[in-house]
Amino acid sequence: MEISTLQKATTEINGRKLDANLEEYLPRYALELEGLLRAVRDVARNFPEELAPAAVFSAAPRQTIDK
Amino acid sequence: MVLMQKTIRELAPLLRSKAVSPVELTQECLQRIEQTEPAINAFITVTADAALQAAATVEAEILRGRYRGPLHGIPYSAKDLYMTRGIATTAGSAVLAGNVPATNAAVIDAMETAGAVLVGKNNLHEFAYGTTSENDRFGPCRNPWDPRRVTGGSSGGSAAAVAAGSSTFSLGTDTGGSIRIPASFCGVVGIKPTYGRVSKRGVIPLSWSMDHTGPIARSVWDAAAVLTAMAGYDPDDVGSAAIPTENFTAGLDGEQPLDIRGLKVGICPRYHEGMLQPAVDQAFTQVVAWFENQGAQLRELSYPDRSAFTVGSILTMSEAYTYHEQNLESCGEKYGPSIRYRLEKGQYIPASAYVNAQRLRQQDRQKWAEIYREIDVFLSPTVVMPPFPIGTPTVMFGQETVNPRVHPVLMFLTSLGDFNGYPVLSLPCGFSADGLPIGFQIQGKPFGEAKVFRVAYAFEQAHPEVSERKCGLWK
Repeated sequence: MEISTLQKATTEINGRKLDANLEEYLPRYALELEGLLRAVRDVARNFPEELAPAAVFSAAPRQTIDK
Repeated sequence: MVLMQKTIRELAPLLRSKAVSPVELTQECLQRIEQTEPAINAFITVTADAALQAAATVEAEILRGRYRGPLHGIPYSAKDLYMTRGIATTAGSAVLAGNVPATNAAVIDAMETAGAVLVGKNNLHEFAYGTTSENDRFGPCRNPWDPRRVTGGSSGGSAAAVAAGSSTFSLGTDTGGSIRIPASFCGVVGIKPTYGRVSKRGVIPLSWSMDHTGPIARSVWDAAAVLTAMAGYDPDDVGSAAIPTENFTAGLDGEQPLDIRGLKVGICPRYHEGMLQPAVDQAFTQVVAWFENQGAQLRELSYPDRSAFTVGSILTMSEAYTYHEQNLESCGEKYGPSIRYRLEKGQYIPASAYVNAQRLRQQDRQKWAEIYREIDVFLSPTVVMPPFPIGTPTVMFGQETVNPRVHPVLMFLTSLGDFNGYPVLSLPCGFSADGLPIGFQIQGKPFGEAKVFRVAYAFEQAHPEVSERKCGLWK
């Protein structure tokens, strides 16, 4: 992943300013995100088409509650 | 310091019968805080005056015969992520310096209703976004078993205070393991209940869809008593579940511990193969052997796999960034360096990755639902290693060398429970050769906390040499 891609994401997509701290982080982010996003794509490739996302803020599905 | 060595289960009848006064108990708790804080740094704020005033109020009630239940008159603390009316709530960060909420978190109100006495706010990993509790602003939480070592986190001060006896119980939060990791590292009991079981209203969020609130206590019975008072539907919490409340101590009182014979117990050695340090591996092997010897039916599972651990982090990264975005822009310099590093990264997660992580979560829940047709509980170690020295730059994660401040190594075994939302309890199961605590986890079915407590209680009662051992600060 190119560092310039992240710079543009910050300023053009997220409407943020780049500061010295953030600039310093970008080379490590580029490395870490590449692997992480690849892992997501790899997992998603095997999803059945009909798999819908979990409801974001709902409780876990209720099953038989045993005491 | 006789009283603060006792559990809630031991103290409650003494308070009820007026043999012990809440004021006397609170005074002893405050003395214990003074005595232990130089060593463990578990508190950010101590509310001595307010605590003594509250203790006098509940004492008067008990004297009038209005006893409310097992938490009445019990001193407790809360992670400094819970909003407390008129008391500074910092989240362990300079960003919230001077923040004094006008209202309580729902669970703090629930504790007031139960008659518990708040003695202070516990130190934590800044904004709960980390697992070592090495706090840049307030200093590191120190492990009562060896103050040179980390407590784990993010509820590190909570677990340290309970282990050191400067709090009878504490309220923690768990987004990737933040109740269970410090419970394991500090040799106490912590439960992350089912998502939706306990209100999160008024608790500063880290990741709305992954956050849970729950208790850290000195015994399984105590954790059950506290969760009973915490739990309940809250229409003002978007994630709250309309599930009837239960008395979780009911299955532990006045009867023999649960008979383990025939209990269907799932384990997945493949998941943590090659990742456990020898002391943890050995302790967990003994746990499994105990269940087997008691007549449990062991089922070796091929799930979970590691995708939930890897991909699940996307959810917390995205949600935590979203919550902190404006503060990162306006006062980013106030965050500690490691949390700022972790938070800013979340801005680069594409929406499709977030949605795919939620799709994986749905698939994960379907798989667990299938698995739980065949098992009653699922067991695993809590953390892959015992607590390590504060400031340790790197630790081993399998064959990798990683920085535990930015790598989720300590969450490897715990984050699965936040991802699927199931109830998981961590309790002590042994000690390393250095005398450091080791814990294991019991995961139950959704809203099956009662069963989890009964299984944990059976193990605890059978292992007094572990559950009754106290850290060196008691000597």
